[in-house]
Amino acid sequence: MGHIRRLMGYSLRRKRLFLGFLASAAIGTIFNLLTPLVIVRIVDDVLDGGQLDLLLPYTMFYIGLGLLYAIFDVAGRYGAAISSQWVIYTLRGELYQSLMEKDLAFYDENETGQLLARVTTDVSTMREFLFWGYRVIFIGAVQLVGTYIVMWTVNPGLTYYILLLLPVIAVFIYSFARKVRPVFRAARNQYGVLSSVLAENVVGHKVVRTYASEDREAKRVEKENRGFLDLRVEASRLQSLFQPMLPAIFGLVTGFLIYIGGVSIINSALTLGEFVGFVSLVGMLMLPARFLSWGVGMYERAAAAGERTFYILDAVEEVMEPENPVEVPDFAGAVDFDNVHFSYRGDKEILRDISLHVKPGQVVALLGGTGSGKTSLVNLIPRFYDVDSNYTVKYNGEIRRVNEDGYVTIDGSKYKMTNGQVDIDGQSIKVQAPGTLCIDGVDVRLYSLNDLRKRIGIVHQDPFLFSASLRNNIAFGRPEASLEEVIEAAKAAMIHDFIVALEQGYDSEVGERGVTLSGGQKQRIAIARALLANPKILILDDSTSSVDARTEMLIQQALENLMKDRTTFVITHRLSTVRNADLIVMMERGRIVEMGSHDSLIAEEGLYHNIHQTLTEMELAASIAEGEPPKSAASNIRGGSSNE
Amino acid sequence: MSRSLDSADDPDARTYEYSDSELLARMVKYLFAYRKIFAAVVVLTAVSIVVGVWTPFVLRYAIDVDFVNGILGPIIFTALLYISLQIIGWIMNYGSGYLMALMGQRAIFDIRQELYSHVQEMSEEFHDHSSSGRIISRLTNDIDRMSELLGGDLINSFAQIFIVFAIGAAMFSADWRLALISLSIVPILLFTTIYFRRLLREAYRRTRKTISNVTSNLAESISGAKVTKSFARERISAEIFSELNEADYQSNVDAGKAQASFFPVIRFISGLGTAVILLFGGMLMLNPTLTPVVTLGTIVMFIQFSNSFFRPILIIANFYTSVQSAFAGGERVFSVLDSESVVQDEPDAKLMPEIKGQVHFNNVTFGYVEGLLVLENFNLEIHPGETVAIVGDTGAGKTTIVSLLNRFYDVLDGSIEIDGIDIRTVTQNSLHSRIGLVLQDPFLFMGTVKDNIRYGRQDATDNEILVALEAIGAKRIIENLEDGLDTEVGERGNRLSEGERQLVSFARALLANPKILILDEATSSVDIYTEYAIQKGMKALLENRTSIVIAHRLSTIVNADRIVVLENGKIVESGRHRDLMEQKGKYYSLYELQIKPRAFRTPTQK
Repeated sequence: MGHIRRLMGYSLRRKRLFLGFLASAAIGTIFNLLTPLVIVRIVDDVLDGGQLDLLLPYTMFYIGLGLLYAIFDVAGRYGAAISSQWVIYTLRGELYQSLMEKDLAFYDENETGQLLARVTTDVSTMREFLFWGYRVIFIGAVQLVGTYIVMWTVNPGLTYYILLLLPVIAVFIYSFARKVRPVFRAARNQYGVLSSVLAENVVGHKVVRTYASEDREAKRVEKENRGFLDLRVEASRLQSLFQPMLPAIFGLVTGFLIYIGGVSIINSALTLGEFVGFVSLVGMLMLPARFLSWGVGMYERAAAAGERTFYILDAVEEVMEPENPVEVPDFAGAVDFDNVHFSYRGDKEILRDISLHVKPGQVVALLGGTGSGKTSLVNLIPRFYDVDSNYTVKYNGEIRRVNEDGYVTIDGSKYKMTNGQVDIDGQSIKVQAPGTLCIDGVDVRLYSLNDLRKRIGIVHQDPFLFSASLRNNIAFGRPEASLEEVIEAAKAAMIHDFIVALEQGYDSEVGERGVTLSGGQKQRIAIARALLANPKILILDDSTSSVDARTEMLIQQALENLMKDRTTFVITHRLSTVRNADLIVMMERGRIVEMGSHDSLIAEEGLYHNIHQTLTEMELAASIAEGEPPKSAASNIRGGSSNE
Repeated sequence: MSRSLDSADDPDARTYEYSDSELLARMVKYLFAYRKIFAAVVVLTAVSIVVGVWTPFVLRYAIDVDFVNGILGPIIFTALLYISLQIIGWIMNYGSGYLMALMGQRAIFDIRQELYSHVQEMSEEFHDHSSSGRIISRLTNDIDRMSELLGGDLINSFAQIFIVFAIGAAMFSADWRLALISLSIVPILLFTTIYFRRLLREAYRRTRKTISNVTSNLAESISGAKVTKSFARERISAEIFSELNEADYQSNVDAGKAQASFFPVIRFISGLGTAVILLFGGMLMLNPTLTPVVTLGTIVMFIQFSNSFFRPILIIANFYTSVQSAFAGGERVFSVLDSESVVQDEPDAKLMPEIKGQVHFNNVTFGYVEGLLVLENFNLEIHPGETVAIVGDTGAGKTTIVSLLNRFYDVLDGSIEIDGIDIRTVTQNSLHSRIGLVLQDPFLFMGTVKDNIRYGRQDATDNEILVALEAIGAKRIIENLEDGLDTEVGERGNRLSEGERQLVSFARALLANPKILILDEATSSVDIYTEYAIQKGMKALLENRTSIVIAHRLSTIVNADRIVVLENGKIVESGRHRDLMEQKGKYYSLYELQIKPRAFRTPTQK
């Protein structure tokens, strides 16, 4: 309901166009409704009354009405096309704007494909409604009422009988909607299931083969295929039942009309012309019946599509621009996490109690498995997400969140926070103030988002390049940069030589129609992009897929150039990078489990120590052949690892 | 190259590998599998056409005879006849519609089953040369595009021809003069339709182009949102989008003109038909000198005929256009069905018995394309329980060796034996069940972690799964997942990280416990944390079975019983790491250039 009203709100922004096309459609319909009256006159005055001289004028009048109907109908359709297209155009613009403003939590929660469907397929569904739906419902209503009025003027007695049609039409539409739609929906869903089973079988055919599971998979496919067959046939059956039902109902009415009309003609209550007119008027009632059932379906689809699309416009921003942003010429690059907690929209905690202090120019290496929180941690710095702003209490070693209402819930019972502490079972526990993340001592939430993000550079492991020229891709963050600056950045990123070797050099297009870049090349373009933007703080997600030694060296060199004089957070698998970092942060399940320099962590003999040892073993084992450590040392190490 | 990609992008593009009549004949063949239903459809449709043509005559009789005579009895009879015809027509339409759908959908079901089993039986060569996306779309969309044609449209369109002839015959039998006048509209109608069709096609082509620009920009903007935001460049991107959006608006509004006029114009022309019948019918009727006499009922009947005449003509005129999509789909489907699998089971193929795991490549020669041999007189013997690491540059033939062992392709010359049995003498299915294959990019099926681990052994207990996980050292990682073993892995396992997927596929292979294991190691590296777990898992997996590893990881290579170094399809070196390093040959350079840098860059640790 609300979604359609909202959609209508867009249409009404161009009120004259909207009302104009509706009016045009209505006027056209009225002309159409008048044509049976001409037929009545032709039959009664000319054919029955013998006034041949009236035949030509009447026929011309009949054609004239048809022409006017066509003209107004064309105008109505064209107006509707403009109006619907304009609404879609406006809506798409707003959606785009809105998508650009969304925080990353939004993109994490919604799959790319689904978002795309919401702004493409769903928008098209709404356009269908905007173009057809209004007119269909409106014309349907006008024609329904109009036909009865015209019937009334021709012969009120007969009109009473035809009025009986209304409930039949209503029942028809209702039962059709009730029975057919769920089956169609089920068939569509089943098609989705079938498609994904088939897709799995194709993509995973090697696995199916190696585990010799062909028969099992074939059975699965056949089952889903048969399920689809049954639903499809059932849907078609219902459709075959209902589709010819409407004309049949109207045919029945005509049969009925022969009887009633015949009786009326005998009683001289009806002329032959009126009878013929009624036959065609009854035919005209078919359109509203068809339109209304069609319109209802369209309305429902558009409402569902509207819900999905408006969801994007309505999604609440968590990350907000500060009212009075702090202005600084540039960052020095000190980053401080103090007791930071983080959870997506207040759900499960992703980061707990993170405290981390980084001086300008330091390199921090983050280690941890998937889900350890290392990516979330770096995403907080450019405010892709915001730090949780709840107070916390530490009770029995567990950290609990104090909700907005000032209560903390532990094992089902609620405790109130008073004067900065909570009394739990007689125990007074101090409340920890909400965590903060500061750059140069100022909370990140106080900088304007634009300034903040421009000063933080990010290089992803699988960098995203746009379908544009290489130059534009490198200058993405600073479109006004000169070619010299772009080249300089490319040189520092060790990609210049590659680019100039291309036929079109810096103007080469990236993407489907342009050059295909390897992972290593993409990464260096992204490094150049970051270099040109010249941020003070750098975030590197550097888990490159393996590349040949030369590329590896180039990337390493590029990264070193990039990291110079910047505070760097790096997620990496390169042992050398980790070893050389000023600070190694080992994370597990949202917590920092180990933190310190390489030497201090090795001395601690914790998880980092184990991992490091396993990898170093390999190094040693490999260097045996180079004759460095004696055989005994190698076997010792191997023995050590199997105890582990 | 780019042309073939483009034509693949456009689902309506035809290659004309098959002619239209071939395609039609082939589709009809699937329908004819249901001959009885087909016959029933023909009968029902014929009856419904007769009923449809008869109905206006009944109305004429009512007007010309019953109403003039003014006797109630015959009026009631005529009314009842009219009503009965309507009900019979409805039942016929329902019956034929249902049966056509039943027949058509069964045909679609059959085609899909046939194509699926065909694809399943196709050798690796086919899968190597076709992207999985294309194969999937053959199995789904392309088949579905034939659905409407087979499920009714084909027979319906064909029936329209009979309807046109039936109505035409009825008109001429009633009054040839009025019949000719009614039909005079037909050419105008046809020309207008053709004119508009051309106009619309042009308009659609433009809108299709603009909308695809909008969509691809949206797709890119959404995927690249993170980058756009991190460079704070939202405004500029929005301007670019706005331009594309506006162009789409404009092209659609332009197209709107032709779109808006088409149907009203057609309807107006059909209205002209009615006017012409009224005019000439009236003149004939009121001029008694002209025989035969035209009655009022005849005029009304002709108006009804002419109204029901246009729809069939439009359907016939549009038939060719409307079936193009189905034809394109059919062409794509049939071309796959007609391709033949290169590898086939021998007619007397036996089941592969339990094996010890001895592998022997015996003078094997093989090439993917004629004249270009990848392996020539290749010999390799692997003992039961041995772990062999195969290393070499890209294109050296590493993957070929394992593909041949799996009989994804057949050798050109020589033979491959397992425990002395030529693999061509056993069924592919039984061969595969003896060989475990762990792929570079581990494929997981939709379902839970547990479902996936027990894929190769459905009867495995939870305990066995846990033991397997423990053995490969992945227990800790899997238990850390949201729902542990019951975590949904999502489509193709995309909810797990690459390392996690890798570990699940290890556990799957371990549980299936094959005597021979082929492992295609991932070249991509994972984070140190996962790398650590994978290394532990690998050791457990390779233990106690014949293993052939296309190795990239240093740990695997160093731990292997034997390293086989391939170059241009030949074994150039073979031995253990230490020995090979001492030789300072191919292996040494591979190690220095690829293996070492991949494992760790410049060891600086003192």
